[in-house]
Amino acid sequence: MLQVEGLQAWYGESQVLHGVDLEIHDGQIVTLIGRNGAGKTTTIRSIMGIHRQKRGRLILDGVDLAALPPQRIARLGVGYVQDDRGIYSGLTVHENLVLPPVVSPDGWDLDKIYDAFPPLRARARQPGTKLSGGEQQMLAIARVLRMGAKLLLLDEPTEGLAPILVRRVGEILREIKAHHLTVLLVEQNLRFAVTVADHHYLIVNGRTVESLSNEEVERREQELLEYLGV
Amino acid sequence: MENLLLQVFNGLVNGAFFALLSLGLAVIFGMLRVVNFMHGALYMLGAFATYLLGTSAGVSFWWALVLAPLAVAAVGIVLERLFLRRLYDVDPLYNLLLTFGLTLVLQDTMRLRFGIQGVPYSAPSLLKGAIVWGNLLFPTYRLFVLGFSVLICLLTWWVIEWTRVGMIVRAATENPGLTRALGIDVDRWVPPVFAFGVALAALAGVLAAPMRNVSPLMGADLIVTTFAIVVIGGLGSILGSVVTGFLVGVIVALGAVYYPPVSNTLVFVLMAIILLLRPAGLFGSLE
Ligand SMILES: Nc1ncnc2c1ncn2[C@@H]1O[C@H](COP(=O)(O)OP(=O)(O)OP(=O)(O)O)[C@@H](O)[C@H]1O
Ligand SMILES: [Mg+2]
Repeated sequence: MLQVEGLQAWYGESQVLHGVDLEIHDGQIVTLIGRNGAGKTTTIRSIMGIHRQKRGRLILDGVDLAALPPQRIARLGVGYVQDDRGIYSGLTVHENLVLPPVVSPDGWDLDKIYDAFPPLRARARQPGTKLSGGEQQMLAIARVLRMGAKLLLLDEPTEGLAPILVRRVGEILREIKAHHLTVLLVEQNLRFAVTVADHHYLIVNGRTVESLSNEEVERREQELLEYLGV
Repeated sequence: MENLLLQVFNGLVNGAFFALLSLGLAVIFGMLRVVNFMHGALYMLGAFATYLLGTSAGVSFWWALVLAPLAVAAVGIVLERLFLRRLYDVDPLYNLLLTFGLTLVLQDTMRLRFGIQGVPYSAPSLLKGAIVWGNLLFPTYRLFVLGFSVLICLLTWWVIEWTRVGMIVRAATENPGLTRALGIDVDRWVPPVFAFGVALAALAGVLAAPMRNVSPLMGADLIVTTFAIVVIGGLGSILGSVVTGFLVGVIVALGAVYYPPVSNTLVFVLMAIILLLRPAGLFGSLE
């Protein structure tokens, strides 16, 4: 279980997170929704330990993450998929997959990965960035599955993808859930969010202001969409 | 024609030194984001280590090829742990200044002990003489330098392209922050990678000892050209640094024959042209 309480964060002098609270139970998919610049990426990067100028409680299964460097947090089983996918151009597709250490026996082996993501097998020897945007997204997710992460932090995995690929990401998320993994998903697309997630947090100006169930999101869709400016 | 061939050969031998030096610089820059100004001084230490090992302990040139780079790499690690690492979080300019300062310290230390003239060192007897090919005379030692340097460059390339350590170095070079977030302790690899780059410089120094005067300032002349090579090849590009190293060696040698006044400036003219046409360098890519 991941608990975030009173998370604040700064870039130099300017404070961008003013109090983010969220709770994700094992096996849940929870989304973080909010406008551009609300602080979603900063929240994820703070949990991951990449963003250091922060204050607040970050607890993963009883372990305090706040003071740990990213490599230690990753080894606790946190898989990070950054907003630009973070595929290395200097590494082949295969190398991109096997770069992170395997941190748990639940990590998917390469055969399982390649069966789940056939395009990756076909292009295993090519540079990672030769893949299409959608394939790069698959690769970024596959990479943390192979690692054996139990908590996935996915920053806008559907951004810029064609509808068919968005559906594919949805399928992958359901498969991840079937494996009882936990996901914190940053998502702007509300209609998509309710099809994959169990719960939602709305973040406004660096604060989580609402905690919403799927029913509430559907009931208040119009209001939320207007709020998100879509 | 024969003269040209000989000049190309000599150029390649000079290029062998450039390639080793710029390869080390590129590896260090990629992993540490440090422009290691003391690279030339470490090359000089490699040559002096060879000389000292020989005169004080009777260590042969062949053993010096192994021991001198190890000794200088040890010095490098000490300097990295003591000084360089404190500045990784601030502007890279600080480490440039620091390593510039350390260069002066290293040079003057050697000058106090050995004077500015330098000391002689002769090639092992196995490598004396020359190989005749038609009308051409190829000094054995130079052939050895060229072959050995190519071998080391290939070996380095192999390690970087085909081993797990190499993969980590490539990943950390491209995106250190993400690499940490994927569970890799990038900082743990900094001292060994730095040591490796230093060892390459020292190895170039060992190879230089029998060929060039072993003197405190021998690296100072070389380092500026080496920087130009790294820029031409593309900052941090492994392949770029090696290919450009050999290329520049040849260009300088040919320049020296056909139009001596510009032979030394040629490299910088080339650098300016490349920067205008391809700002990221021949083999570099802009993010
Ligand atoms: N490196 C930085 N330096 C200074 N301010 C930053 C930096 N990165 C982000 N910010 C600011 O912090 C705030 C939160 O940014 P963040 O990237 O976390 O938002 P986000 O919710 O992920 O937005 P988006 O939907 O555009 O990805 C924004 O106001 C942004 O301008
Ligand atoms: Mg963002």
